[in-house]
Amino acid sequence: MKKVKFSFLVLAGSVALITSSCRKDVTKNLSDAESRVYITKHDSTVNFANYQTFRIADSVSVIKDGKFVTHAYNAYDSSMIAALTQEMIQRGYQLQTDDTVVPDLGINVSRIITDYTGNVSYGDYWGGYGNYWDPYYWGYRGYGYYFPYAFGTYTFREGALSVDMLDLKNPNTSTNKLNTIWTGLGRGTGIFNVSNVNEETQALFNQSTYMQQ
Amino acid sequence: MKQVIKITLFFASAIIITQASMAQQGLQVSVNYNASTPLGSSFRDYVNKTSFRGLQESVLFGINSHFRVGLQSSYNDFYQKYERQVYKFTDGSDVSTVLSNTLQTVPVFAKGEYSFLNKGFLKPYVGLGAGINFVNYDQFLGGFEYDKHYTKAAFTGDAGVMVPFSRKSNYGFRLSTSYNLMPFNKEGVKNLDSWNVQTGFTIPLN
Repeated sequence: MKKVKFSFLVLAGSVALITSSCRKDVTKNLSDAESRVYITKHDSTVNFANYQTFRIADSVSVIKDGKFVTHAYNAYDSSMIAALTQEMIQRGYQLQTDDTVVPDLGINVSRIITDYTGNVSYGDYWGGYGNYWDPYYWGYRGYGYYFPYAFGTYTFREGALSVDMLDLKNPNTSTNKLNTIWTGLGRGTGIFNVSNVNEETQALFNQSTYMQQ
Repeated sequence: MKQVIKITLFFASAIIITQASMAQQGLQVSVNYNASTPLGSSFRDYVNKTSFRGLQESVLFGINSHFRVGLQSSYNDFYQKYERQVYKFTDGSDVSTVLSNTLQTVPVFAKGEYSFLNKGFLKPYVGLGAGINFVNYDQFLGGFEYDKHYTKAAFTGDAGVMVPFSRKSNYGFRLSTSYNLMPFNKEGVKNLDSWNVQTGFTIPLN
C-alpha cells in the first residue's frame, strides 16, 4: 500500500512538474523588435493612385483604456509625424502645407494605451467614444468617420500605435461620413520608443504596396 | 492546471481500481523521457521540429506473465519560431510578425502490452492503446498570445524492450518507439500524429 501511495505521489508530482515547467518560454525567446506586430488594412475598392495630396494632423491623440485623454506632441509624436510624412512623400504624394486647402488624404495618428486584457476594435474606440480628431479639423464640419470594412478585434495588453488615413477627396455627402481607406496598427514592446519610429513606419508602409501615387 | 488534475485523477483511478487485486498481480510503473516528431504535412506546416521536451509515464498491471493493462500518459511541447513575414489574413488585413507556433499534447491511454519473453537479458514487448488527447494550441504573433484548449481522441501503438538491471530483477531500463494517431482538425491544423522514442525506467511495485 505504501508503494502504491508512493507511486501515485511520484506520478502526480511528475505530471504537475512537466506540464507546468517543461515548456519553451516563447516570450523570452523574442527580442523587443521581434515582439512587435504590424497590422494594416485598407479599403480594397480604393485606388490609391487617385489621390495627390495629404496632410497629417499636427499632434497625436492619446487614448487610454478606450477613452480619449488628450492631444499630445512629445518627441515620439513629432518623430512619428515626420516619418509618416517622409513615407508618404516617397510614395509620390504631395504634402499640402496650406492649411486653407483641404488635401486629398488626411492622416490621424493615435497612441492607444490599455492596461487590461480585452478586445478593442477600431469600431469600438472610434464609434464608442466619438472622434478624437473632429472632422472639422479636416474642413468637414458636422461629418463623422466611416470604416467601410470590418476590422478584426485584437487583444491589447500594452501600448499601440494607430494610424488612420481618411479620404477627404470623396466625402459621403449623403451620410456625412469621411471614409477611412487605410489603417495601420503597431503593437509590442518598445512601440513608443523614438528609436523605433523608422522601423514602425517602414513596416506599415512596406506591407502596403498598393499605396502609391 | 486542469490538465494536471484530470491526469492525476486518471492515474489515481487506475491505482484504486487495481488495488484490490494487488496482492496477486504485479503492478509496474514506468517513467520515460519522450522525444516526439510531428508527422503529416499539416502538423509539420505548423511545427516541423522534433519535440525534445517530453515525458511518458505508465501504470500497468500484470494480468499474467505476458499481458499487462493499465494507463499511460505522455507530454510533449512542440515549438517553432518563424522569422518575420507578412501574412495575409482572411479578414483582409496584412500582418507583419514573427510567428511562434507552439503546441502541447497530453494523450492519456488505456493500454495493453504483450511481452514475448519472460526471462533473459532483453524482454521485448508490443502495446496498443486508445484514449483521449488534451491539446493546448498556443500561437504567438510577436509577443501576443492566442491559445485554445481541445480534447480529442488518441490512439497509440508501440514496441520496445525492457532490460532488467539483473537476471532476476523486475527493475530495468526501458527503450521503446511508438506511433501516436491523434485526430485533430482545428485552427488550420489537421491531425497531430507523431512518431516517438522513449527511454526510461520500469519499477515494480510488489
